[in-house]
Amino acid sequence: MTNDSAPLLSLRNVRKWFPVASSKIGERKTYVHAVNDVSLDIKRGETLGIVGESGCGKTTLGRAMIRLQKLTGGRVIFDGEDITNYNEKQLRPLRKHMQVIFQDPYSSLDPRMTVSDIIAEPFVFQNMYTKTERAERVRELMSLCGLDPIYARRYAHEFSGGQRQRIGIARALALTPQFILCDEPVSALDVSIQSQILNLLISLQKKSGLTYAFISHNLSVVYHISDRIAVMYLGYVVELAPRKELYFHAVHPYTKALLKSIPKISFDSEPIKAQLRGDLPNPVNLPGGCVFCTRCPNSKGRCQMELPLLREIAPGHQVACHYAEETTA
Amino acid sequence: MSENLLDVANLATYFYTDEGIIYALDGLSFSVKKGETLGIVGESGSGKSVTALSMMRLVQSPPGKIVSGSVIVGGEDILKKSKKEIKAIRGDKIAMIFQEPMTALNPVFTVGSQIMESLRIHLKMDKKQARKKAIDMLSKVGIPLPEKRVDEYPHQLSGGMRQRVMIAIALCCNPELLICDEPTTALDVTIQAQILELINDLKKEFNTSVLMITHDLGVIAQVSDNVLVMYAGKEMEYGGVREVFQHPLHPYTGALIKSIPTIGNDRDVLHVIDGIVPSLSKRPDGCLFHPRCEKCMDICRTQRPGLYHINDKRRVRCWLYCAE
Repeated sequence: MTNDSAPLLSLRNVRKWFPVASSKIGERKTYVHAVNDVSLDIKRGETLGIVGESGCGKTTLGRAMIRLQKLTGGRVIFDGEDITNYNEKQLRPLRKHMQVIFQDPYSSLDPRMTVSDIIAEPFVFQNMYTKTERAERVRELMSLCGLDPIYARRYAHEFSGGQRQRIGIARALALTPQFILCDEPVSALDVSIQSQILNLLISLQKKSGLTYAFISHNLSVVYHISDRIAVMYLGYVVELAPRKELYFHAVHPYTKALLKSIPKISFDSEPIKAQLRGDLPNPVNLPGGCVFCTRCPNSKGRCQMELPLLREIAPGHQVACHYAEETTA
Repeated sequence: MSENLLDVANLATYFYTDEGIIYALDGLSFSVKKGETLGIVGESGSGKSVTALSMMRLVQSPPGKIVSGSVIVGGEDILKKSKKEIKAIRGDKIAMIFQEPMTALNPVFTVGSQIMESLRIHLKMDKKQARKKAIDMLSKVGIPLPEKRVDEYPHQLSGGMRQRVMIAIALCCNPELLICDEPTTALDVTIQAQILELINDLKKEFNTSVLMITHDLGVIAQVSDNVLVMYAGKEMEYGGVREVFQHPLHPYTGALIKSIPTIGNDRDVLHVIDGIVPSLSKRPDGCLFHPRCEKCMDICRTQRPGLYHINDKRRVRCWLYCAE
């Protein structure tokens, strides 16, 4: 039995590199450095938000967390068990405890299955319940997620985007998991529907003590739902802090730029200004030194030479920047 | 001659499908002054993109058909032009930036030749002049090494760069009106900030009127002078951007603003607009928003509200503001 204060999920130096197909025989193999040396803990019952721009490795990190992918390096510990090298057969009983909600409510539901088939599919894989029990459970899950059980025999295409996302959530909840990876669950939805889904996720967490990893590029959404937030850039976690600390006392220049780039509905501040020049560097050839040095407004000589490591500058607040102390002052 | 650059009156576009008529855009009227930016905001299916396409006469027909209205730019009605005449206007007087910078550029031509194409057609430039102007435009939109980039293909550029190329193409003939349909939706926030700043700067430099269409209220707040809120193909509210966002009149606008999570706001539960956007082929009776409205009254269920003028800069389609 593991004790309750131990983290539910721990990542240690997790690394995921994807080989790039080389065009010539004998050419040196190159890699997309999607996730580099990420170490973090997710506590029981908390929501860890993961933000970053496209290509920063947030989805790859999420998939590595629940071993939907093999790692290139590092370790994943779930509920005290090192699952880094588990094969599919070993993972299957654990899948009961870890589930996913995907971004796209259109492509993540099989168009040839009815809603009840979709929600009951996890029971089939895990060999749980009799037929009548399954039907009963599906009805429960549907009403829990705000869907009328009358629609159990309909197909996914008959539902709107928001309702499909509710079906996806019901499926994720079917096995009463401890941990749910939410990969951009509201990005494809309109604002009025987005708030319905966010409220649902929060109330479900309160009801059953779920632990979430919530991946999104939308900083306001992540602020709303998370307890702690990790900011990623080019496969590295550059800042990790409790949400208020991160939003009001951001230290890393990238986090600061990200926060200032959000178009706000306010008319007192200055009009929107570009915070960063240039684009994301190519993740195949990462810049030497700090990965952010090519776009950083405060980049100095040391930044081009030496990779800054994530270090704690205040309780619970970690930053990967050589000059963290100077920027806080 | 009015001082408005653009006058759209009673514009309606329906789609005739097997499932029935889809009232995508139903009687929209608005005007834009020279140098003004009008934001059009709405959720998916509100008809904001169809507005842009109808104004450019790009609605696919069949099934779509512009059933009524006029789009008057500089005294001329776009909807009355022949196909040939409209071609001369597109890209010259009116230019458009699309949402998807990946698909809006042609992958088999270089960036330079795509900018030069409209320069040569509309401004009758020769190859040399056009190339010089293309390089000039690329550097204006902030693309580094424009002499090199001009000969590159779209796939060699990042998303943000491609959107800059789109803006360069749109602005190269000095259009009077620039229509931006979700110009930053496919981009990351830091790149979005770059593009919005660029659009703001260029607007000042060229004194272009801009129609900014997006679902993102924050983007509208940052770039627009006035805003028009759409729902189910109809205008719900219009006014100065500050007035509308700080003192929304229509229950829909108010609920929309309240349902966005904001940083620093610690309400546990977000405001919710119940239900979904109505089907545009089977619209509800009465006010189109009444099934989701918190302030729904008896009259809202049976009769369509008109557009009530609060003052000369403010309009709202809601029975709450009916004077009688």
